[in-house]
Amino acid sequence: MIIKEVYIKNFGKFSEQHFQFDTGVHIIYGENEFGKSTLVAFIRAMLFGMERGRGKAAAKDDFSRYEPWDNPNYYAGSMRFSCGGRTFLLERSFDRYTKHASLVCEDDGEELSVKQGDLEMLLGGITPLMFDNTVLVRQMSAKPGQELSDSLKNYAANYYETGGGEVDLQGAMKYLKEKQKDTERQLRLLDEKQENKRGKIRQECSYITQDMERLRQEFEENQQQYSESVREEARLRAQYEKEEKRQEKPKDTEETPGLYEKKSRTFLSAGIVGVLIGIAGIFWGKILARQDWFSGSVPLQLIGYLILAAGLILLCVGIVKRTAERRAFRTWKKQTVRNMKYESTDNEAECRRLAQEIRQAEENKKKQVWQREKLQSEWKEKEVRLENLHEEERESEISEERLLIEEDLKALKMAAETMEAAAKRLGRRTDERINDKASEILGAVTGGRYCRLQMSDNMDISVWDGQRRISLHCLSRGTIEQIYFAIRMASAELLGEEELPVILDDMFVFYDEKRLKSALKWLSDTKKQAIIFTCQRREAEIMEGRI
Amino acid sequence: MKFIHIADVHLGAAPDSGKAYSEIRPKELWDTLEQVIDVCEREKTDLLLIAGDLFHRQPLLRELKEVNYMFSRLTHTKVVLIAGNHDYIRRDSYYRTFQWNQNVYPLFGEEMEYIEFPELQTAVYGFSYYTKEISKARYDEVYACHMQPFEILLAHGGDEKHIPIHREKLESTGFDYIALGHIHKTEEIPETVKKQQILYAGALEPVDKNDTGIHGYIEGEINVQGVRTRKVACAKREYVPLTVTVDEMQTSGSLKAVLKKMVEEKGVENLYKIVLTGYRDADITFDTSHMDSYGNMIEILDKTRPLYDFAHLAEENGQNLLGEYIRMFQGCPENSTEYKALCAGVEAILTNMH
Repeated sequence: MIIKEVYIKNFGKFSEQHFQFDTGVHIIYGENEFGKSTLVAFIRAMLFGMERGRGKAAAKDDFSRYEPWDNPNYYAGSMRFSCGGRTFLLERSFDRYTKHASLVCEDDGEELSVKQGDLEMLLGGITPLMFDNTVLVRQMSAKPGQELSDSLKNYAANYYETGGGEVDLQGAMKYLKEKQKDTERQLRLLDEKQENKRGKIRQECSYITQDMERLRQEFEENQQQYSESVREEARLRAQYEKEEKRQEKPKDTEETPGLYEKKSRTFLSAGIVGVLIGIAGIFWGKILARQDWFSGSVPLQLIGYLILAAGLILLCVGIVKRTAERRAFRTWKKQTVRNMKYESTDNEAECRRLAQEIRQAEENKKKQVWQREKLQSEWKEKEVRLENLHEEERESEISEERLLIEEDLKALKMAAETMEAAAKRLGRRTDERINDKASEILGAVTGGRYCRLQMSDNMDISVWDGQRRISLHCLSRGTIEQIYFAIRMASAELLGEEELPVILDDMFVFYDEKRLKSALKWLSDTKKQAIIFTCQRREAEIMEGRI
Repeated sequence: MKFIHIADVHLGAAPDSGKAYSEIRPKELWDTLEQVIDVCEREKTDLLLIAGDLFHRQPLLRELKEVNYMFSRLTHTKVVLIAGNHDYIRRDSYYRTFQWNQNVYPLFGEEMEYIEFPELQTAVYGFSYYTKEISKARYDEVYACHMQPFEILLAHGGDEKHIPIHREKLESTGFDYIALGHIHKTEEIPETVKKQQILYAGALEPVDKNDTGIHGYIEGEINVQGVRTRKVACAKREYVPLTVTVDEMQTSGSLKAVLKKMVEEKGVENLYKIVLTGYRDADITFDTSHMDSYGNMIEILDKTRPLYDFAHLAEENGQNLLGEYIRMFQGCPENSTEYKALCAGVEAILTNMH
């Protein structure tokens, strides 16, 4: 692409200005504030358009910066350029009301559409950022940005690309990442299903454990009840035995009146003996009285009478006592018989009741034993079931489906890694080409001082002066700018399908005369269209001197 | 002497049976056992031999009562069983205490024992599992004691962890019939008469999706001529492995129709394991989650490969990423993970080519 003519209707400080260009190197000399940067911005705006920013940023953007002071309504211009042997006229109007762009082929009058991307096609698909990173070198921004590195990578992916179209490396990587995420989600879903199944088992386990706990409690209660029943039964049995004994041998609660009878009997027998002795004494006295030889018969008879009297008295007392005793005994007997009658009825009832209660207690015991057995068997059934469930939980087989998805995931990871590796491999080849090209340019510019330039993936740059490798930060500002220039020019050649004009805005400030001469020579030798803006006379002098 | 030999009934299991049959499947295992018992009763079979794994896990008391009730209905047949690795006699096993009906003869000893049936001139030998696994080849040391003219061994196992079985050793044990259990898979057994037979009955009903083939029991008769056996199919369902080869014309919809037709042909009562192979259109991925027309597909494994002409693609894309990528997988076999990665990467690049 060759810029033929630039017509600025209204742009920044310029209005109604024409600039003519041709192939080869152009040097535009101007003092500070001449408007060099404005012209550069205009060319860029013509090629890529210029959007009005929004918000705060709008105050500082190019749109506001170059908005004409006097006639904002005529914020416009045109550019004539040739491309592929044909000449085009590109007209643009930037202001917010009449904003438009038109592109016409002047050879056949064909109208092209900027909106449909016809201009982009003519530019060889170069993006504004790539443009900034290669052919457009502005003051103080010689270092190419990250965009260049990415572009180079993408470029590498398409190296020598023939049919099929252009590969978007980042897009392909993203596609793989998304697929990987999708596959991981599938795996998770599968795991969740498995986990659900296991959760169900666990839930059932916990129900069974609860049941078992309930059974255990019931069992304990049962044990307690049983031991209570046993105790109760023992107590009842003891009581029963006692009752039974009492029935056999009723207890003497009062003394029998027999002793009194004995007393009366003593009285009676003593009385009888006294009477008999008294009678015998009286008789014996009477017999002795018939025999005269005994004079003591009267006292003897008297004693006999006394004893008889005493005997009679004792007899009487005995009889009275006896009668009283008899009466007393009869009442006691009556009483006792009545008592005994009552007592034996009570005792029998008690025994019957106790027997009944003992039977009841035995019944309870039996029931409790039966219940205990039932609880035990229920508990065991639960235990077996629980153990079976635990066994089931432990058996976790990995399904073939899962294995297949796992393999998919592995394959996707492998694909991403391999793609990265392939891109790197291609990148290394591109790097080599860039490095070769840049080395060549750097060699030309530095007059052979640095013959080899090495740029790595992450834009680490070093140069080789024939003896040693020198990294960028050890070099002078001038040399660094020359290195960047070399890389930019090499990249532009590699990346751009269409050779674009090189626009250099005050870029040679740090170049010494010798290297400036070499750089200009290199530019003119390449037959590129180069537009150099400068505020020094050196460039023009050198060029004139050469001519 | 007529016998029926079954094994691996796995009562209490809930086999993988797809949406349609998962609910009723556990019950079907019981139904089929009942069916076999009906056959025993009808045919006046002398012995019903159960070569282990009657239950899938430790039997519950009520399950034992159920089974015992079934056995107790037999008026002629005597039942001999052993415990296998699934229903092994654990310390708390109900097998230890259960009171079987009088026609049931469990050989539940840990060591070899036998039971004689003089009226049948038969003795049946066997022992039971007391652990889940037995890696010792215990059947290598057994032999028939010739207590009766006809001698039968009930044996369970046949893999590394469950009593490895050496057939040639079994052949020299002197048993007329060895009723094996544990291996579920069954092969066709033609009706034969031999002096000695050693056979796996296979699972009565298939209980795992890998138990493919026809399942049932072995019917046999021993007399002085030898042992005559016959395999009888009786399982209600079958696991049918189906491999379907797709071509680049196939879409999800057309594939679903193809599968539906195949299932109809092979029986909707059966359960299917489907593997898709072949080359599909590179732009199509089959939605396998919506292809189960009858709810009887246990799994559908999509092993299809996208149809790419890698050689041509590589050539056409010589030096760019696609060409480079394809070349990095050169020579990888089609069933490898690498091949899958190759397909995935090519798909990613092609969909991102402008």
